[in-house]
Amino acid sequence: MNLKKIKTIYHKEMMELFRDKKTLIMMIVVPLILYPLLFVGAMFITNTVMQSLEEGEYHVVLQEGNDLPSSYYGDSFKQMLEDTEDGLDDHIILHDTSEYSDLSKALEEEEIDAYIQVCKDLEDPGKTVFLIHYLSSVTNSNQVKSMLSDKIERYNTWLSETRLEMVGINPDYILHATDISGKDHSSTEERMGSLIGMILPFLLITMILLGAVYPAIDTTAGEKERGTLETLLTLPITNQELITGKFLAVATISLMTGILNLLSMGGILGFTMMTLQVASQDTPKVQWGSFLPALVLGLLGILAFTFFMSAIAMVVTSFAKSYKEANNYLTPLLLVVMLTGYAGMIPNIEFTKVLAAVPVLNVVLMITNLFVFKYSLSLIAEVLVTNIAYAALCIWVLSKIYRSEEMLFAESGASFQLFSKRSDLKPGGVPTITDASMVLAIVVLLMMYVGSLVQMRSVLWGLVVTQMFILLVPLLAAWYTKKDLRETFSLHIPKISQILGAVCIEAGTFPLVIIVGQALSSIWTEDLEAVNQTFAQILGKTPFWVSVLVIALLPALCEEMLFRGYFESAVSKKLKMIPALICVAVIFGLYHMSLIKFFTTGILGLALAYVLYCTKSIACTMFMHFLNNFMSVYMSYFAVSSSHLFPWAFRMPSALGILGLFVFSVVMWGIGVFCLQWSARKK
Amino acid sequence: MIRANHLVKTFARTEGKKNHRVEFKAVNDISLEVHGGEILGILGPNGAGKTTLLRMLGGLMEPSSGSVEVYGKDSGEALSPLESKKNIGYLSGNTKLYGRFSGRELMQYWGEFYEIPKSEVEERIEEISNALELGGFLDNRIEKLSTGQTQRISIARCLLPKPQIYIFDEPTSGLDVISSRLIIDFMKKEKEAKKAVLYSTHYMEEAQTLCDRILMIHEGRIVASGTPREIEEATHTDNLRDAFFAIIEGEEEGHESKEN
Repeated sequence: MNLKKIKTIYHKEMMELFRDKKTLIMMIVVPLILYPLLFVGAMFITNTVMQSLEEGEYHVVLQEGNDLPSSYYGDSFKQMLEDTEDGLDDHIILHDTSEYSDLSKALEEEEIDAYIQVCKDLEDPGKTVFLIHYLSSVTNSNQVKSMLSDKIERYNTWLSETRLEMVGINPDYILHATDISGKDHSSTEERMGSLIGMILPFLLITMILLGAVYPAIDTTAGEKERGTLETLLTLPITNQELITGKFLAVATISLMTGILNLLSMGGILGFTMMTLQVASQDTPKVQWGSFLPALVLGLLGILAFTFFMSAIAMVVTSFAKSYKEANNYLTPLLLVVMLTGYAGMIPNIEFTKVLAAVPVLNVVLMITNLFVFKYSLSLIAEVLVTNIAYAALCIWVLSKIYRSEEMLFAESGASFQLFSKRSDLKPGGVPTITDASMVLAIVVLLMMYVGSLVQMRSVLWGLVVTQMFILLVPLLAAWYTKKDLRETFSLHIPKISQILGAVCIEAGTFPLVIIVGQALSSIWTEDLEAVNQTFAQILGKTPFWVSVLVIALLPALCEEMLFRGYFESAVSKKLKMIPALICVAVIFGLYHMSLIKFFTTGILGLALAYVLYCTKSIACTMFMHFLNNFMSVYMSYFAVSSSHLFPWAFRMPSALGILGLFVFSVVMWGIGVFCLQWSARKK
Repeated sequence: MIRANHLVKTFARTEGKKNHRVEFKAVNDISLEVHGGEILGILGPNGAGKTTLLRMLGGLMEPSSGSVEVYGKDSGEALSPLESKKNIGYLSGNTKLYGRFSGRELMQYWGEFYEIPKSEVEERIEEISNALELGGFLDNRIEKLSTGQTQRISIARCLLPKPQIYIFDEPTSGLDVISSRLIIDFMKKEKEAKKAVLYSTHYMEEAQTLCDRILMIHEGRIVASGTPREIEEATHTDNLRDAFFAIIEGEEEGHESKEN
């Protein structure tokens, strides 16, 4: 690597970026002008609202019944209502009942803010009952309701004190026997820090990512779109030099955006604190200097995070051929990063060794902890190292991409056909990978929102609805993009030998899945409980045949259509066999949203994907999938009899037992693969 | 100057109803040699593999098999890949320029990439600017220039490192007569200056007058080579266009007879 050439690339990229209006707007105008403006605007609105509340006059009617208890002191109560308190400007204006013919109507039409009905308690004639009529949906009415409640409370105390004095008892002795007060051991800085730590990290990661987005697109997809990439490749520079220079430029802009935003926000915060301190002497002084270590270490974390974000944004945008496409690709990344960052704002998350390796979350937690003066140097080091490692990994992927001619020179094609006009699409073929990812995303969203909503009412129906989405979304997508349905969903009638092969492979996979599941559940016990809980919820009150339908048959039909049908056909068009199968397996594992199931269903997914790849018949994998799920349901319902049949599925077998099962698996797989290959050759 | 030995480039693409991944050879065993003071024309229809071949020669793409050797002025040992690139001026319809820079800035950056001392870069810019009459627009942003002006800056970019070899991939396609003329004159001049020029086109007439030797390629393979005259004589035609059709037809008949 030649540092001078990297410097030239860096310089060239920076120059190009700075000559573009979009970078300047994103980097300078937004933080330096927009934030203060927004802040001033927000202050202005808050002030106006506060003022209108403070100057408020509230109109209240006191409706006293005819037969009131003798202990009700109407005049004193009225006096208390009309008193203004503690220097507050707002006061209550009492109106006479006679002014309004219908009080309830007057309240609804907001002529008055509230009215109080005073009457006698039916069970205890000595007790006065106050009923406040108000509108919780109207700010003023709501406000006056709480004011009135306070005043009635005060009247109550006053009345109690008077009564006690009348019988010669010191009211303090009875009414104020105890006193509560708190002493805060948090320093002003700690309180301040916990507040900053709540908001700052999330804002920062968002700003850094947004800062990286534009330069990442411009230096990768932008170069392709403008046709300058090939010019660049004619230069006597290596790929590493090219990528390093570009990466450093993106990271610089991203970091600058982040820091400018930080300064702008910090400036506003400082300004507010200063005005507050001038306005009242009570505001505690904050020793800003004590945040210095937090700032320095935080800055290091941000630097490492910037490297990671810049690199990952460049990887994503490198797959795109145009700005528009790059933007589409970046949206999921933005969502994932922001959601993960948001998770860091959940209070009381403990910053552990495991979390310190989770991308995005680790930086958020690190900064949150720094600002409450918790310095764990080993965890901070872990955050820094992991972020830099992730960045390095991304750069390595980038250098792979820049060696791949397909990525660099491929002609631009409409990969997001789902967003194209239907009349523009040519019929036939299988879905594109981008469409397939989009379909998966839609299914997951529907599952999370609609599915879980229905599941709250009925677990069983929730499953049915989820499966319907899994079936319908890919079908609709395939129809809309005019795909060859037979090809996309592998709708071919299998041969006997293929079914035989599929069954053998399933027989070889099932014990493997069970053993791996058992091994993993001894590691992640919490996860196992969560899985069992949902399962128990379904199985508890459902007849056997319904469970077979909903848990075994339906997923076998629907999930195969999505994962092996739609998704696998898209992936295997783009990737070679092994990466394609692994991709299907990983997605299938992830879809089950559990650590243990990721591995167990991942193995199953791999077997299913392989069978579909060989047979091109979804009927085969549907049958396998059904067998697999049926076995699980059967074992849950008839635990006693099946524990005799398959003892290894209920208790971890001995090492010898595992070896035996493993040999069985391998033999069954062997027979299965032979059957599939044999039928392929015969063809 | 530049030599290619049995170059092969394999791409994967999906084909047919079953969407199987099929490997096909965009360039299939091509060897060639070009010396100083010579223009080699590479002819062929769209999709024949011209661009892929030239990209491999220019070091933009790595061959699947075979090798490219580039020799410097004193033609001792073959140069390293990076040194080779320094000796090649590559220009194609796809090598666009950075619109946000001016021609001068672009050449200054290029000077740094080719590790030419700053003072020398300035001298060369002066020289090239005079030769190509860039004076009026050298300091304007390239995005503001006309097609012809941009083309001149492109040539200037190629000239700056004073390469020994020029590779031009359909440089005149899509250009008007005047801009095409500019490039053709440039190639003639560089040939006279004893540079090696490789040039692909599908304008047969252009190639006929310009090239010393012709390489006709079809579906990734060489189907004919020699001087324009030799090719015409071999096919009993009187121009390259007819010769090309004769060769292609012969190829296809040959294919059919083989299959039968």
